[in-house]
Amino acid sequence: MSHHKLATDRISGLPDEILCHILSFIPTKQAIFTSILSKRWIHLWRHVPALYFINKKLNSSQDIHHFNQFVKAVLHSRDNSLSSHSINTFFLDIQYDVSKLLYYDNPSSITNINNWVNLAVQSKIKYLYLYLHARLKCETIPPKLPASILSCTTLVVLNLSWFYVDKVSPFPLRFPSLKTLDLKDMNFDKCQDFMLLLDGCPVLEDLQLSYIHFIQSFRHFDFEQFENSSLRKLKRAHITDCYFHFPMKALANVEFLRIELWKGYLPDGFPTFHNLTHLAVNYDCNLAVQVLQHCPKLRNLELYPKLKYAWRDEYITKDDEELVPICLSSSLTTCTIRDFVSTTLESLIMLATFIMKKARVLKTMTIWSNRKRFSEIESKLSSFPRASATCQLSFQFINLYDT
Amino acid sequence: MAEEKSQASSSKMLTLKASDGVLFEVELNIAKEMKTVQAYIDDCEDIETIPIPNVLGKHLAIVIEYIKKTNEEYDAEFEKQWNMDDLQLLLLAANYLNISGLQECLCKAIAKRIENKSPEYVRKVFNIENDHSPEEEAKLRKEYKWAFEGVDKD
Repeated sequence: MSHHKLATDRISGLPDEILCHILSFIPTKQAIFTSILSKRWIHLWRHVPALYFINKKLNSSQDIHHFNQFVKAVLHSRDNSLSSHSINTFFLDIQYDVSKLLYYDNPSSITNINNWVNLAVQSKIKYLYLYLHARLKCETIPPKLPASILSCTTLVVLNLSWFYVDKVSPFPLRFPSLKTLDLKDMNFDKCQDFMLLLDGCPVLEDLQLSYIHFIQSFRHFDFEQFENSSLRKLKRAHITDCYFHFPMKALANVEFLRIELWKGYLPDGFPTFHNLTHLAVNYDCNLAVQVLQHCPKLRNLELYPKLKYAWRDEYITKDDEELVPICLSSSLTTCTIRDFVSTTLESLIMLATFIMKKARVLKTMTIWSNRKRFSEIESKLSSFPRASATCQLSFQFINLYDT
Repeated sequence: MAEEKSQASSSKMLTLKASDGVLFEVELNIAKEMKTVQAYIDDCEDIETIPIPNVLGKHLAIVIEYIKKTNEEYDAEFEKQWNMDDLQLLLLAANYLNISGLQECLCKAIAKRIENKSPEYVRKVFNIENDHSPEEEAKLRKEYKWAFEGVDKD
């Protein structure tokens, strides 16, 4: 008897809701295709509570026009269905060539984004992702953030890339449900606008900031006016490429912190990070040691270089037990050090040996470097006396030119 | 006496019987993650063996392991181990047993595997029978012409 493997249509055994849920994770354009799979699938895409538009090739006015028409057609098609009001996710990821499209001369392209966002906000959207990428954007200003976002109280996740925010009015319960905020390449008019935005996120758990700029000049203490009650529930924070003094006391409760320190931060500005177990910080700044002093329960430390300067021995001037951060001797179990093209071998080894000498409960020390430097690093470190008997040394190979 | 009872219930074991007869002993708190099982327990308090008629032993084992181990890291690696057939059967199981976390994980995994693939590929992978007549299909393609333009053949 021949052995047939029967091909069974299993997916049809699932209810419409689940099929729609699967479709909510793929681009809307593709979801529409599923209408031709079989009779059952004809209308499913209209009930998907997510709109997901990705287009990286908007290089001409014609491209933009086609894209606008596409989105308009999708919204129109859904308009007639009963569930047109239940959109919980709106995801827009587009890249346009600024040199070919001076959008401030062509206002219709951005006006459309405003209209789409307004529709999403009206539909009580929860997950909003707006990623704009402008090629050759160095001398251009980003488009203005649709104002309706700032009063959308249903948001749970808000991820924005490449917008200009001009005025944020005081509104303490602006985002009562917002748990994740990810801002990249954002221009704020004044630092107060940025602070007011953060002040309106009482239950925020995850914060990512990179390349945040302020049009108007600011002073260090402008950020000190931060309300102590804000961001109390924050668990994770990533702050990179931000050259202003983020109020560190707002981060006091975080469990995970990735931060790029630069010399503008003051050592007495750091609170005790009493929940912090994982810290990623740049080691080319003497403040890294200061931060470690404030992390009594740190278990996992990642050290990477950001600027040109290397770790210097004077960051720990004495072998004084008092100056050695407590976490090194009592809680640190994992340490990762990343090598970089401008880091000298000597300083990398100094840093690694300093930690191995002090970290009494260290289990793993991992060095990320290239194959060329590996053998010398390995020979110097493997014989170095370690404070922790269980400490293992491991290596990961990388390109030293990558940051 | 009340203390004894509460201690016993926290380590109480239940038996789940898969469709092919395979038996699994699980702790009550694990079983409770399956809302269908929870409803069963609520209805008949003294039950010890609960039949799971729609799920094979192989898949029930995977589901139980998922409930025990689920966290961000585990979920990220979880879906990579299974082929499309198993993923679909697991999703059917998770749907029947009403385990929201696992359903979410599996929906995302299946979506990832069909993302940017053509309708023909999706039909093949799911074994969906095309019950459209050629005219109906042509009509749909025309109606959604603006969406079908610029499709990448997989």
